[in-house]
Amino acid sequence: MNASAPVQMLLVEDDDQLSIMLKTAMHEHGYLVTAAASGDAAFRVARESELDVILLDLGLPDIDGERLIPMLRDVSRAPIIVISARDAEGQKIAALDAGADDYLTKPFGMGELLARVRTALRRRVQAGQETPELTHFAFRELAIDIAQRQVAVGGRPVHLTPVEFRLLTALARRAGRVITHRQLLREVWGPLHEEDSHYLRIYMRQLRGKIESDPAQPRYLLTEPGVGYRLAAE
Amino acid sequence: MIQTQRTLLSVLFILFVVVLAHLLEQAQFGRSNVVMVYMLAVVVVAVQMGLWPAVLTSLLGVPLFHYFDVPPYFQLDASELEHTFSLGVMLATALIVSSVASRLRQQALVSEERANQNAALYALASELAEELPDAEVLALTARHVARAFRLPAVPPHATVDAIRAAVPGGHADSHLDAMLRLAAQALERSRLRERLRGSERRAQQEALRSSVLGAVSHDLRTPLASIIGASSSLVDSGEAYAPDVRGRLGRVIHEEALQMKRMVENLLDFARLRSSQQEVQADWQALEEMVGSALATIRRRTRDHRLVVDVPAELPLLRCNGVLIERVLTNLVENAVKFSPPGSTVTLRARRCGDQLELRVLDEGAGIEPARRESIFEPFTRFGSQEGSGLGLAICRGIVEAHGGSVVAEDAEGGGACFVLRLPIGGEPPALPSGDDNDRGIE
Repeated sequence: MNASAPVQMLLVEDDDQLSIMLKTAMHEHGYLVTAAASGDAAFRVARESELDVILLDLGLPDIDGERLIPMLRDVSRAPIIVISARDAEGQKIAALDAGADDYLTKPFGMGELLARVRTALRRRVQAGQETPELTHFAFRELAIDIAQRQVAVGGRPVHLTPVEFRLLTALARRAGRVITHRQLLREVWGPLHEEDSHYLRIYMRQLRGKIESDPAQPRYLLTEPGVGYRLAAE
Repeated sequence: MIQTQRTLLSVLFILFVVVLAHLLEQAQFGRSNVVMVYMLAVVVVAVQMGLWPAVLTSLLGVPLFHYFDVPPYFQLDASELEHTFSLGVMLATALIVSSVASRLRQQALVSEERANQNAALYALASELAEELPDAEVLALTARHVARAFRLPAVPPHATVDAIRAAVPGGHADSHLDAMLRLAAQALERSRLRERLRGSERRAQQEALRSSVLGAVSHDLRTPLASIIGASSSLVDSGEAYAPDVRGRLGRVIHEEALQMKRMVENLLDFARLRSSQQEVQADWQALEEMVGSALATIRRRTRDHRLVVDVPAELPLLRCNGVLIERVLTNLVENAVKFSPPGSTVTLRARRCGDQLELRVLDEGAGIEPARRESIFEPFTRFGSQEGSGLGLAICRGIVEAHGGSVVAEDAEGGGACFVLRLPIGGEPPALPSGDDNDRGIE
């Protein structure tokens, strides 16, 4: 993110009131917002301008947002944050698996939305700097040195098994973003184990036992109920 | 076969009669009396054995009588006329008696058959009197028909007429008619029952809908009134207000909107629970994870209570729908927070009890009177004028029961309410792949 250039945001939302509200609020926070009320308009804006972030409502009049995600991905590298009234976990998962970077369920607070946008932008900056691979991660007291395969909490080294380490780094590579159960299972155990959700529960429990001071109230390894996990980054 | 046996029997009987008659004749009985013995023999044979043995008895009886009992003994030289006359009388007797007897026998057979049929009908009727699914009615009927008509098996057909077609000569059998009529009536009854149940269900839904409407219109209007009041003040004359007044109005709008959001969520959950009677999608879940996200939700909403979590780390994974059970935990803890004074403690405690997981949510409030401990789980019941849609506990119970568990209200030790949630653990998760994670050197 260039300090002088404002952040270009595409807001895809067909509800007028919500669109006005978001546009006004985001503008107040220094974002340059283009609003689109249909999938068609959104696709044209994404193809023709350099965007930094896309806010996408799934329920559009002309196309299902879920099908729009891969199309937007084709023409833009901007992170996509899904905002949707759909409460069903299945649709959130489908949107994330289709290539969305994050999601927020309506109604949401402004603070929450701004935090998600910042996280998405940070990731984009990292990508823009062409850091080929994440080597270090640090948040609060948790420090991960991926190259050296070392993990520490509050300066105290933590001993992890290979699978625990793979799980933690899979989350750290996209810290701050939701990663679905399926994505994690595929990444850590391989594509044949996408349905073996109990692997994930057991290893997440072990990992939290080693990293969190109170595993029932995690500070780092956050649960997205019914969808996946997120490594806290803000 | 039976005929031959009967003939042999009648021959033996005649021999016996001949000997008896001869003895009587020797004992100087009148000859007419001796004739009566032969007559008796013919009658007995006619009654017991039917026409042809009786005719045989007559034909043999006459010459035997003349041979043994009419002097000159052991000769057949009596006059032709007398001979023929005796034979005629005996034959006539045999015919009359045997035809009467056979008619009687026939009637006895018919009434026995009828009694059997009635018994079969009664058996079928009493089995069909129960409330059965259509397929069961037809299968039962097919079984009874097979038994009544001594058929090896009548396969259960899809309709009553198909069963009739499976019975040879079934199109004109009154007994079969009666049985099939019973089956048709049973089917008709079940259709009527279904229709009745449908209209009962509709009436219930109607009642529910009106109570939902009542609750919603009241509970949504109250926060809406605050929101519209506060926001219209800001829109109309916001610039005139001091910053702290604007802030206060903004907070009112925010708080009330959150309250509405919670109610709408509850209503949607409730509607979803009622509309989807399908099985819950279960998955292996860690309890502390669900507790963690439930508490995270509640912490965002309340800061006045101390929340104590007592969940042992060694609890097994639980097979359930994580999102729904988290919803139950959120509702129960939120309920406890709502009905206990600020500054008090709400405790969530989990234990394993055999193949169940037992969760207790305890508060330090006033507790729940025993009389209300069941009714609070009904939709749209609530305490006094407390806010909320009165749906939270109904949703909890719906979700828990869909998981094969239970939730009840009890007294907490030392006052306060205690909600006890029991969930089946659901067995053991499949084993982890072995050798995948040998613990060497990541430090």
